[in-house]
Amino acid sequence: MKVLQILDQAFRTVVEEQDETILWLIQCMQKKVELNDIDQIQLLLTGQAVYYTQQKKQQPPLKIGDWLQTQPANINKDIDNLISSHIPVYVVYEDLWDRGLEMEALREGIQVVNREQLVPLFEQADQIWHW
Amino acid sequence: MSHNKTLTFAFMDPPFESERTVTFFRLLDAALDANSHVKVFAYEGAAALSFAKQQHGNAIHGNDTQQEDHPLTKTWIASLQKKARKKALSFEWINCGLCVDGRGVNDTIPGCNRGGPADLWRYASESFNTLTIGTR
Repeated sequence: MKVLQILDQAFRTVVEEQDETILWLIQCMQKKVELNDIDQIQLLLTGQAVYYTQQKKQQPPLKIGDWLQTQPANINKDIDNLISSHIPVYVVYEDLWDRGLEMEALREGIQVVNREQLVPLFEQADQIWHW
Repeated sequence: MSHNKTLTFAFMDPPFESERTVTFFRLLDAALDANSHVKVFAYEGAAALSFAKQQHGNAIHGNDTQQEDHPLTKTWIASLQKKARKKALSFEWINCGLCVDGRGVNDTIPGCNRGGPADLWRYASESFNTLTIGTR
């Protein structure tokens, strides 16, 4: 089964969960998927989530009173983990352009697609999970 | 029974605060109406949907929990389980274990089990299609 994960929301629950929850979910499922040659996970970043392709800083730790967060989310590492696990990661060019991000350097290994190219990308997937 | 389609739902929202929760349950109900087997993976706040200790009185109404008969998601799940049984359909429910622990909602109603993301992948692999409803 080939599943295209579409991540549109950015920074959802990142502070309190210390993770980008969908990137975390994908990394968990990949441990099962990589056990065979039939299954594949792909990731398409759209909307606000396109910022993940070029984010440079780690999430700042939260401080509440004397309590200081010690393990803030690291979205850069999550994205790098996906790429090193051979999960294809795509980003929509127009969504970068809409946000003035189209000229910024992307993380290595991310593939840029335009909106016209979404049709074949969708059609090659068995299921599409839009988060 | 085995010829009916199976649908998987992945849901992230908690019992209250979001209209998506009610819509999600209406979709499950509609799926059973259409004679589909149903599999649910409850992720993040949705892990509390099946918490057995949900209760809700209302002092302003002058009602205790029984009189108030407040809508509770654990009751909706039980109702859907019952509906599925009557129609000889399967209705499976797995909560993300880490999400359950994080919220202290380990005490779930019968028929709702503990699992993880690998179960979501298994559910989807066994299904005609999957609907993911992320929180916003």
